[in-house]
Amino acid sequence: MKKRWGFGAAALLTIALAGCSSGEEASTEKTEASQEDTTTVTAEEKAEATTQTISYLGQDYTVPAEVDSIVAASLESMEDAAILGIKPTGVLQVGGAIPTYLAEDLAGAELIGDKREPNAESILALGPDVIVGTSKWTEEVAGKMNKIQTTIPYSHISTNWKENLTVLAQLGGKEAEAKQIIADYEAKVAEAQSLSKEKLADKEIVIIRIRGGLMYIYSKDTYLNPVLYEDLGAPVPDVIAQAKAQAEITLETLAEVNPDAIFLQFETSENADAPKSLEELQSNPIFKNLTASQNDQVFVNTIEPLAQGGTAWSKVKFLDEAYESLLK
Amino acid sequence: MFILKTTFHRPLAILIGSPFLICAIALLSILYGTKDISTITVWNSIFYFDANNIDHQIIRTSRIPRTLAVILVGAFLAVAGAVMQGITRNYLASPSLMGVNDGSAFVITLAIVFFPGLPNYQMILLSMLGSCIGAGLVFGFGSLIRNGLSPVRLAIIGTVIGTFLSSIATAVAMYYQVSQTISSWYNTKVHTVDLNMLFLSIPFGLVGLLLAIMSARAITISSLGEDIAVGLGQKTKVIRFISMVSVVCLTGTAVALVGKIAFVGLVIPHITRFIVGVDYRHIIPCSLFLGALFLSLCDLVSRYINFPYETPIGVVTALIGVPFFLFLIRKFGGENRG
Repeated sequence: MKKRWGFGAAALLTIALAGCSSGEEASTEKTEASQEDTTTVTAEEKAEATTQTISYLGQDYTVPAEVDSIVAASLESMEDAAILGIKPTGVLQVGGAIPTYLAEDLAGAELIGDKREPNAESILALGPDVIVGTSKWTEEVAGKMNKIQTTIPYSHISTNWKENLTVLAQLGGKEAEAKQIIADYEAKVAEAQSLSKEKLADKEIVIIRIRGGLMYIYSKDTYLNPVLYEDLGAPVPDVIAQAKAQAEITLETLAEVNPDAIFLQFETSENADAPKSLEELQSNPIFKNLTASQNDQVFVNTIEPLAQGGTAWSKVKFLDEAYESLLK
Repeated sequence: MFILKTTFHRPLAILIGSPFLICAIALLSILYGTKDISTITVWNSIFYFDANNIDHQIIRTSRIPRTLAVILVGAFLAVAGAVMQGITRNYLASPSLMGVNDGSAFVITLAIVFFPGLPNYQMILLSMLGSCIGAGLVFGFGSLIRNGLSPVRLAIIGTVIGTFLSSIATAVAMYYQVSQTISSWYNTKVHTVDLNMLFLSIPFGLVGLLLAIMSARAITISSLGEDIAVGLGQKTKVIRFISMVSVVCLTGTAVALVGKIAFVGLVIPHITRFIVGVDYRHIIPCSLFLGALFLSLCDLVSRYINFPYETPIGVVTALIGVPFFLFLIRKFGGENRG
């Protein structure tokens, strides 16, 4: 049975691919590169500028000179598309719809399925010029997407956020906006750091995400952590330094760390089995006796709890909020 | 324990010795954890409790409930496994084989989808109800089919019905996009045990334990085979029913308290059988103590494997249980003790 499905899917894919590639040729022939985006983009002379090569994190990707249709197949690229004002033709769905916090910015996009394995058929139907995926995908999924169209594995490592934003801006013709966002962010960081040197020097601060009723922390390079530990310059607590990617933290360990401030991120859809876990945690006698709780330094959902953390969108918003909470 | 020659003394040694060991490990689990708390603070937290002292709160709301929970859950699962293996004469029997876990997952899935936000104790009851439905279906079909209660057929029926229930549950979970949530309900969360939940579930578990111990003699007879049991005048259907009620009470409570823990229900009864022989009047009480001892040891170890993060207890049970199990098979496997 499985085998037959495999054959069927492969056959479908081949047929669809054939249809797609001929359509693409036709469209690239009649359009000339109307926009001059040549900062790091080198127009391919041979193909009479119908394609361009974009380099991203040491890899080159060939895309049409004029990208009309971007499929944002990762929550990271969706957030960045929202902040840049790019309208992708296809986006991921969460619970059958565009995630609410991005719904307004991304309105009009078609749904292409789940973040782990988007629906190849829906993407094919959109005939995208490029797919912006995620580096979290398995090789199998990434391979499938690459067969449909050039796929950029959008990095999920927070420290690559500028490269991410830049490459998406190049594709969507929003490079000026991207530069502005990065410049504004760096200005804010410079301002914050002069304050944080004295205010945060001896403070232990952690960001905790509640999922399935349990508390999770992240390594210092992932999620929202770089904003806190690099940009705001707060010292990295040991428990964060030792974490690899996502790690569960028990109340007892949290009590051992006893941080000066805690950012709690709680998303109801990630806690469907324990919808009251936020209230339960806040009324837990151990949690209530933490230094952070006693000094009113527990900040709940300072930004949208579904926010991915490592994107320009998340960083800009979280920097503003953390600045307000910690430095004012 | 292996020095003792006759099989009679071994159960006695376990019954007398393991409570001391369990107490010792329990004491260690209360004294040592990820946070460094001095012995005197532990003492004070019990006798001079101060609600505003964070260390006192940790001892009272985290370490003590947790220690009690692993002792109980270890005992429950081991006894449930022993009863199942005896009654089905199937040494691979464990709650997962008889549709008990799948039934529970099925009902919990429906509850999370259609009645989100139910309080925990209702989830326990639902989990037990699900276990009953699963076990009921398996044994119902088994009784309908000729010779359906034989070990092999029962295993096949159990697998088929279990798969059926779990695929419906998966389909529902996928459709309503709650699959991640459901798997997290079943993740073992020993450290989030709630003291109230613990007290709430103790009566169910005790009923299960009592039924198991009371039917131990009958289970021994059942384990000799259906024909012999009937020949000896045993009401096999009644015994099966009673032991299933016991299993449902025990596993339902264990799953509801801390989630799924693998291997305890399968390995501990085997280890016990290797040590004490085939009489379930010995196996059941000894499994009870060995299960409690084993799981509390695993819980203690789980705090230190990847310090300061905790390792899921299921990983530890497999890490310790499997090698020991293999060692026992190598050493005693030839004796055909079962």
